[in-house]
Amino acid sequence: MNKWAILSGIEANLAAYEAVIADIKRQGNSVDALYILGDLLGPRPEAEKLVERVLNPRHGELEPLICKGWWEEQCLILHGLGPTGDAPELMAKYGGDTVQMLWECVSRKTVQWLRSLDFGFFELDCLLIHGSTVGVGEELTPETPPIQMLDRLSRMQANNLFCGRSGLTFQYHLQAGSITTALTTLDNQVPPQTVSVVPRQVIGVGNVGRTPGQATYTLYNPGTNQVEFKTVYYGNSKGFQSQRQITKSKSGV
Amino acid sequence: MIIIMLMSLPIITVVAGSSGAGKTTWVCQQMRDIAAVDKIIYYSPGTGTVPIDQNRIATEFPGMQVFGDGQEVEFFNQIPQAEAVYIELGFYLQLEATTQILDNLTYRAVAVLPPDLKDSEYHSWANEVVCGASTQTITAESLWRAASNGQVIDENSLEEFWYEITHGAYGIVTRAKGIFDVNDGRSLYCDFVAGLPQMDFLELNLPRYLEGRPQRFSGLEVVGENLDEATLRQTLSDCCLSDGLILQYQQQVKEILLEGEPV
Amino acid sequence: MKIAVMSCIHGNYEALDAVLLDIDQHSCEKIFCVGDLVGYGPHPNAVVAQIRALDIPTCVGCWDEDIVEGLNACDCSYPSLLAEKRGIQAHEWTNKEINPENREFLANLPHSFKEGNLAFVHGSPHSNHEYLLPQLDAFVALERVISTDADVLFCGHTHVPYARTLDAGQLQVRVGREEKIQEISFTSPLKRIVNVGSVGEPRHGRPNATYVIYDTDIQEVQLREVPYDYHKTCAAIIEKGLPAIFAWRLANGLEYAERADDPTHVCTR
Repeated sequence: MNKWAILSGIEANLAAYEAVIADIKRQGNSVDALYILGDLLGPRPEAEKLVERVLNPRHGELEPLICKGWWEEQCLILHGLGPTGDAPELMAKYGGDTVQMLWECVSRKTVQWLRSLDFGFFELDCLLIHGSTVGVGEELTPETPPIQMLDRLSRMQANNLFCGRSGLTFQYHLQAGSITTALTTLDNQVPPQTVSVVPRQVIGVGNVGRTPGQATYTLYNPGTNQVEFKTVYYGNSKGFQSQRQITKSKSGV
Repeated sequence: MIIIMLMSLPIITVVAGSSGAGKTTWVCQQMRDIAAVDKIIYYSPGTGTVPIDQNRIATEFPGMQVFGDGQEVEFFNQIPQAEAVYIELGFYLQLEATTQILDNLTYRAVAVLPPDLKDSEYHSWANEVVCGASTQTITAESLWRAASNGQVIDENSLEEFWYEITHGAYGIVTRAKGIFDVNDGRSLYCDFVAGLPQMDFLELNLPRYLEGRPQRFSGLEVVGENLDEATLRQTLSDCCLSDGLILQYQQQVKEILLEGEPV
Repeated sequence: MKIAVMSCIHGNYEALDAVLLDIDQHSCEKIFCVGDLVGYGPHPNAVVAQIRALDIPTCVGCWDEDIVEGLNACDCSYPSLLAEKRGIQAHEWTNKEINPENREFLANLPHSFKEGNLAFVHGSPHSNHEYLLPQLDAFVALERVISTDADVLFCGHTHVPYARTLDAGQLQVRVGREEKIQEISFTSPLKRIVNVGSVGEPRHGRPNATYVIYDTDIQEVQLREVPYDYHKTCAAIIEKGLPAIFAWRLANGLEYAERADDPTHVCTR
């Protein structure tokens, strides 16, 4: 029974990462792939330590597959390696102190490594990405209109889109749908045809490091299409406990 | 002793005919019936530095001996050892003048001609007339050739360029043929005869060339009226990949082949 | 009210002239343009001057952007090296030919605009390099129209006109979040997506200009094909020193340089 563990938003929170890795270990052999959907970096002093920990899995730990996230893109922009020259979003959302922190805490060597990261992964019929098929900064949430979700899935012809930008855990299941379309060209007229939607879903995989003491991540079984959201409590007050939430998602249920 | 020598000479067939009628095709058909491929000789004078037919035939019959311009002495020397000799005379050669060099030999003269061509110089020359493809023969035709050895042509560009050539963008073209090395290392053969259905590019039976600029023949021959030779040359050049792009494509192909995937 | 919408004139003044005459003969009250006034064709200044003189609301096309920004923004839309080289030649020629006033005009064109429940874009609402082809997934096409908040989306860029209706769109969604399940229903009324073809660089196999007339009262779309003396354009192409192959391609109803056919191709540079 192989499952994927999918994480996002570690945001340089080393303690949170350790807690999640320990929780994954507790799953035993059932987890055979580990994805980190961006934002492993964040404006924390231990950013470099986190990168080192992620890149050096210990005995019995999986080698993570990492793709770029929003924080990674901000780092690249700051170092003049991004698609744009400035980072207005970063400044507006977090202010100058954070920019300073990010600049100081992330080394040039790490930034060079960021350049080699994939934009996302496509495995079986699943797209695993930080933001969306439009960009690293697009936030898909339970409030995103259905037509927009369907567009983002259709761009890569994926049946499952795992994303982490919002930080939320959710399952957005497009169960059914149809549309009638007719076409007229210069030489031809195609009469109205009704097209149906293939059921598909967008899954918010949670966030590991933003909320102190509480990390969320996702376990996915590609064979059964089952999604499990996991919450891990860590830190002095709560100790190492975990709560499980299962959401069955076989079609027809 | 003389009788033994006469009996040991191979059958020599000289093939002539109008452009596009199917001389090379007919020659290939005859060759397929001969078991000992290395005992066949093919010689086509007048192709200069653009020996397209020779190269195409050589890939279809590996081991066969193929000769072109500048190799006449070798060709004559090989005749006694061969089992069958085919000499193809391109439409652009003067029939009378060329056959004078063959006066010392006994050969059968075959003309491959379109069915509605009657009473031509080929008819008075040939022992045998073979019915070929129905092509138009235009009298005021010019011939343009360019060798492109060492060049790699961008395949998508070649398709566009070929479409333009065969649809009259560079003059009224009645015949065109070429052999090109493309991005993924294959060697492609292109053939066009006006009035006949268009043929897809044919992949020649040659190994993929993935080590830089190819060390083998490639080139283009175009026959027609009012040919815009300068633009043909420039456009062919525009289709050629730079060193950097050649390397990039070849690298990609090597990686795909390593993974065992189809290219 | 009847409106005329055109696109992709590409410096072909003869074609534009014929289209404007046709529009006049069909008593259209308003004219709109979705960009690519220049590029490849021999009369970029005359075309821009005419659009300005008639005060035709226009949005910027990818070629217009290239002239303003001084670079070829989307090389990856050329499927072949040959097409790319020809595109570069056309860009360089147009860049030299366009006068400063017309360049300024192009620089100030909006990316899109709306008029009532009608939206106008060059490529798609998301990008000027996205081709909205007729075989695009119907829901994706619907998303494009809905994202403009309009009922009819007019676009160009592909050079082949079509009119598509998207009706009775509906989706059933189930959202699971923190133990709560929510059922969401989405429905959409009739929407249309209309590609207005190309005035100056046809891709439908004939050299005629194409544009669209839309009747806002009865929501009827008419795809118009207008013959014109393309030989004049061909002669001008050669006279002005543009690649002669452009003249041959135009006369044969082919685009000047091949484009990619990828339905949702978006430049990722």
